[in-house]
Amino acid sequence: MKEHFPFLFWAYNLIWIFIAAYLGILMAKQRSLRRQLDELKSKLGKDAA
Amino acid sequence: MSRALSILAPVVLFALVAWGLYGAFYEAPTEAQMGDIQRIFYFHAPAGIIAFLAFGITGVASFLYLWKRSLVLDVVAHASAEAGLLFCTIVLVTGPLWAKPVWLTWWTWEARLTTTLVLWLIYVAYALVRRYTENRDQQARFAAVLGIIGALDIYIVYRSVTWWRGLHPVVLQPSGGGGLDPEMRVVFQRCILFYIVLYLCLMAVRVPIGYMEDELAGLRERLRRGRHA
Repeated sequence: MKEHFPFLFWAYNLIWIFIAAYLGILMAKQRSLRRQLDELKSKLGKDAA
Repeated sequence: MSRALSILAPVVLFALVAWGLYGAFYEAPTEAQMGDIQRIFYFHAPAGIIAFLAFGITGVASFLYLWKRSLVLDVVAHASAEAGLLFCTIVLVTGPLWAKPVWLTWWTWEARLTTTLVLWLIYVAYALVRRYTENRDQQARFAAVLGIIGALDIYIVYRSVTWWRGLHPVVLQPSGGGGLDPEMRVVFQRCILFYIVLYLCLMAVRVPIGYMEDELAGLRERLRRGRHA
């Protein structure tokens, strides 16, 4: 079964990379939503004025 | 505070990943019968446990949402379901990696595998309901019902190995305990810790997204009404 060792090692590293990418996408989405909210709030503020 | 957390969290996560990988591949003893392929267990089983935890939280939050009608609970249920779906996907990917050399097949319609696939499909349906139901209240209600059904299915998945006695190994007994070597147990617990921290990080990022999406929808509606007035 020793031949499975490198296969397993790289398979799991790919899984961690996938998880890190998912986390990165979520963080980017959070930043984008925050920017959109700020823009919309300032727009609403101007409209009210 | 949030800036410090956003820097600290990836560092802690990376350290835990490295610690987990080191434990699973170098510290844990090689299993006598299966050899190195058994090392999948250190990622497969904790991912399953955290998927159960995440779906359980979705179930409780969904139940409370139907009772209290608080959108905070709905946002938590949604975030936890998404994290649970990620962990359940890891379970369904890593399981066949182990099964191929040991059972000589990627997949078999065995009780544990089938019930886990059903659980995964319930939460895929949950994600689709979230994506394609436009009315916000209707979306929350439909998703809450699915969230509760999914949480109830956790018990069936957990007991499937004893109820139907399939091929899947019973490492963690429903009656408590298990057949793990003490050295293996230490690495296993470390991997559970890693997955718990990962789950908390995902929730810390995903829950505010839910709030912001709701707030954005509210502001857009206000802007639209303002233009039509």
